[in-house]
Amino acid sequence: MRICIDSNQFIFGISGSDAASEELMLLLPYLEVVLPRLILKEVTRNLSTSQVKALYTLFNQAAHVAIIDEPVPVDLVAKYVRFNLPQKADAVIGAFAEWQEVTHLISDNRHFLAELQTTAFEVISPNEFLRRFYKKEISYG
Amino acid sequence: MSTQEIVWTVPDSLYRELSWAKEELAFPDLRDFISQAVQRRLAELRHEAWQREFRHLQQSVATTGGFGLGDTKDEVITNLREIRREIFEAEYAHLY
Repeated sequence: MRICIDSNQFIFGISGSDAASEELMLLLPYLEVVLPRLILKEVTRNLSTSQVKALYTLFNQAAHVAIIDEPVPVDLVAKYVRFNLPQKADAVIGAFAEWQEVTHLISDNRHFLAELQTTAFEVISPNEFLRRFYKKEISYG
Repeated sequence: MSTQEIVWTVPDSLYRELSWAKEELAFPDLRDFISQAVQRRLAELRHEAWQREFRHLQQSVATTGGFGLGDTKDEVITNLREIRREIFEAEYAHLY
């Protein structure tokens, strides 16, 4: 089962300000995760060079975490623009999730949670993800 | 796959424990049981190392004042959304 994780989860997890996001980070080596480069740029913008290097080292050591540089197909982005998300950049993240065939996008972004209604994947909070993961409704990568 | 034959001398008590565990867990032979146990332990050690590195990163970020994106969840998400918009406009908007 493949998932995508929004930038807010990395911020909350690394800063330790949200227990569920932090636990999600600690599970990364067990999960199959795809991330658009845009999300990584958001996360690393306020980090030092050595901290960025440490973060990328962690990703490299997690066997099933992939960072995708290819642009998301334009027609899929156009589809998600029609969901009336507040920003086109949000549409790109939604389109990325469908393009990469993820089952879940994990985020605390209330716009995603409330407005991104699609049958292609499910947007869930980290708490809900962990609940399902430990109930084995979501399997290892 | 290349292989290496070894002779492994163990105390009787350990052999009895291994044999008991192999039977209980329904492994076909001791070699399969030990191989899987070693693989599982190596995976645990790798995960423990990964977690230590993650904790180091957390400490490093905390020591340097955090991400500087706000004190509350809402502030952080609002600031992240603005960062997303800026990066998108600068680097991706021309694609769409």
